[in-house]
Amino acid sequence: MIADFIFAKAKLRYWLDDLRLSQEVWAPTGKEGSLHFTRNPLGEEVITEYTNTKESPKAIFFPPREEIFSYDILPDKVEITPKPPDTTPRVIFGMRPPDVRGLEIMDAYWMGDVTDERYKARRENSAIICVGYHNPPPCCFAESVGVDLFPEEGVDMLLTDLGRTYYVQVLTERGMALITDQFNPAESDHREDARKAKAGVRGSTDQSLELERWEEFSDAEILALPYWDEVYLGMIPSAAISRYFYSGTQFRFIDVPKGHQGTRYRVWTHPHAPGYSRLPDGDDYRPGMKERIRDWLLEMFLYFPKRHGFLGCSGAHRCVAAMPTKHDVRKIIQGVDFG
Amino acid sequence: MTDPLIPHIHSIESIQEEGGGVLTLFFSREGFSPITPGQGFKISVFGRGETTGVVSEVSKDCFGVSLQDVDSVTHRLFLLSEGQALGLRGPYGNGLPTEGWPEGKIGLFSMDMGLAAQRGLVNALLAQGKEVVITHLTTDKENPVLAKALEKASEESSPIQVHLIASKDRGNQPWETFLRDQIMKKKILQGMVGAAVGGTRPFQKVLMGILEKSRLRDKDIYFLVNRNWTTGLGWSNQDLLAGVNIWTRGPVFDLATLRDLSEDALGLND
Repeated sequence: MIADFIFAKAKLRYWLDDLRLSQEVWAPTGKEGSLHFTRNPLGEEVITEYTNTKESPKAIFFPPREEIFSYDILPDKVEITPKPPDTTPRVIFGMRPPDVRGLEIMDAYWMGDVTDERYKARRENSAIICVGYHNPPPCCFAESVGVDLFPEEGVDMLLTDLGRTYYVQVLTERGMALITDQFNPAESDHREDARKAKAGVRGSTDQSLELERWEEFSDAEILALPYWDEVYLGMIPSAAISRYFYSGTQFRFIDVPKGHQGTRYRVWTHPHAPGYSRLPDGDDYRPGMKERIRDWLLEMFLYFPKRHGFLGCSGAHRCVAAMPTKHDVRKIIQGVDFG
Repeated sequence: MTDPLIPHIHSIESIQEEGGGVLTLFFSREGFSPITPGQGFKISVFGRGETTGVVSEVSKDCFGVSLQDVDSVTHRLFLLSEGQALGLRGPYGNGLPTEGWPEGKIGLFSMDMGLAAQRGLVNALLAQGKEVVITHLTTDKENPVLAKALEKASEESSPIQVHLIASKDRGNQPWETFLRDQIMKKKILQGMVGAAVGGTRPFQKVLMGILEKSRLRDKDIYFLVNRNWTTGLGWSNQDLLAGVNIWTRGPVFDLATLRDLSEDALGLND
């Protein structure tokens, strides 16, 4: 930690309004139950009392529609003009710890063996201000998937809610650059209050998923479990899966032509989209809900951890709170029947 | 830094219609790293989008990418002529091994479009003095995919032995019984020391069962696993096969690797 401060919630609106003058600010707005991150909201619109946004903030880093390049078909050649990576400085205020984990999951996809410069530019130019999870709802299972409710890594600033104030831990130089004279130096009482607030909630979202049971079985055995034949029953295919979950970066490319010119975009898609797994020869290797749901779950809890060393689930409980039909990952994983 | 999503512009050197709705586009090798049959390219038709092609021929100066006419992008490709420009991304993946095969008879088992990548392997095998046996299952005996290549390979002067099997001859038999009977009746496996398999997933699944029980060593049996891939970079789940980026470790896997990777790879549990 570089420094710590106390910051009055009443001053938040002014601080965010000031930040907005020099950079793009994203913060949660709306009403509980349908909260979402909004670009450059007025400070007075920003919500401070909430559990989490319905939409994940992944769209800030990986937009649903992103220009890759424009082209111009000339008589003797084709000219391609790449769209440069977006280096706009951003502040993301109010990200909750499961979404911080969500970014780590996305980093693993986009900045692994091959780096997506577009994603990387957004990540490197964004300051993450995390509000520690002092109020997780009962269905939250963040700690079950290894999320720290008050993360000091992967964020630039960690805020702990102390009622009328935030205890502010500045964790990076980028975070320090956001401090203004509206922040007051923290004192030992504040630190003690924050410690108690953290201790009071830690452990409350640790609902064992009993993942240690998986270690006794091979991939093939897990894949062949009869459990997958029934777990998808009652689910309705929904494109919302692409908005709520980090694991499963599904996208495709589309061209939007205007005469001899046009633009290629990368757009979100999802495992339930028509033709998602259909091959030109007509074979569909993920033909139904069973295969698609199984694939999605195994990517999060079996394959992703093997590749990256941590679970591909953020524990943000959107599967419980946001999906239109039952997708309760917590119960699905707890209930895996190994026979 | 080079953006892997930006296609490079290349002119089509020549076009070959292969029959059965398959087209092969030839490009100069200039500017490309080594290219191997079985690798993949994403082909851009500006204004339409991208489609997928498989490297089917490689010579000293040029290479061919074959694709099937299946959507609006490929429809457009069929209307192009030599000299026109296209966008290419790739090559992706490892491709079929052109060297390291054991001495003796090599079997190439394919169904429809699965033959495309193997065609590029034939010349390399023949140049090494290998005996090549093609066993091709076609869903349309009158107009098979890659008909011209099959005709050429079937000519009397050709050093290649070709067995053409029509899927409609299967009748009500299960695929496994039908293919096993065909392969056994024609003694195709006799003396075979290596094999490559390409085609639909059910076809590969059946061949896996047959070849697994043969005398061939696992490491001399190769499968070209096909998927509806997006980037080739591991960024999308569609690039992943049982959690593995198919385009860094595959798409060609030997039987031993494929079995270790996951039986899901060929849908053995479906």
